[in-house]
Amino acid sequence: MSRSELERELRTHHDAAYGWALSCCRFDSERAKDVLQETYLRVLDGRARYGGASAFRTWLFGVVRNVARALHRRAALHALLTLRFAEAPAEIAAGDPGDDRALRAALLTISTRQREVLMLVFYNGLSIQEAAQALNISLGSARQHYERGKAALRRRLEDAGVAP
Amino acid sequence: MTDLRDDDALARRFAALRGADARRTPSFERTLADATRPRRAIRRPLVFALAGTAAAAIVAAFWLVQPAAPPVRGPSDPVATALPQEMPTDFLLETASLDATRDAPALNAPVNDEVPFL
Repeated sequence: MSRSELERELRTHHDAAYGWALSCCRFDSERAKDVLQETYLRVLDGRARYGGASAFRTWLFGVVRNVARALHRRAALHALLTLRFAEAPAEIAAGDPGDDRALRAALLTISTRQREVLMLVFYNGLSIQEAAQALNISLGSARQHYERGKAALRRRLEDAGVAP
Repeated sequence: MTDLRDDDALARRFAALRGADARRTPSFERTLADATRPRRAIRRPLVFALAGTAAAAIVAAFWLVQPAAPPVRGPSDPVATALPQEMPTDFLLETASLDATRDAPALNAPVNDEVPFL
């Protein structure tokens, strides 16, 4: 794909990619912006190459997730080397209505894999199979995380007094 | 079994969340401009921290691999006492008759008896 084609694709999926980056960064908006910038840089300079094996959006989500993990590891190493052990808590958007805040808080209490699958399916509208491709896991595993994640999320929302 | 009604309720909640996030999403142009802007090099504290860690690792490795010094043997050391020693009063043993006594046979040496056996 040429650079202009890549830019067009990135623009098309920009909102979804930002939402997914937020999820990968535990809803920390500043870190999500960093992740998205690094992702775009890798896509445009060819370090991340689209092979056409899956839909562009599915592939892009996989790149976003890999970049988020790499930046998280780098930040953890930096904190360790500079002896800063207390990491700033993730931002749960202050302007959120109560229900949205409760949903984000509940999502942060379930396992990472369950959160990822639920975000990809419910938030980004991917099928479970596409979610499995983006996360590089088997379809059966993705289904399991989907079902267990939903059950866990409902329990958390009920505990928080919010009807799912 | 998946409860579709519950799934719909969850989907509505996520849709509301997506709508809230969409209002805060930075523009694509801004994100792209920030991505392609030259970034600051590695932060200075990180460089110092890395250099300090590397230096500490080198010192620790040197300390661990250097050979141990041989032990110093003192007078009470059994190996040291087994070695021949020369005392400062040994000269008192050097007497005029020392040569004569040096050739004296030992008490348990066999005697060469010249008398034939009868």
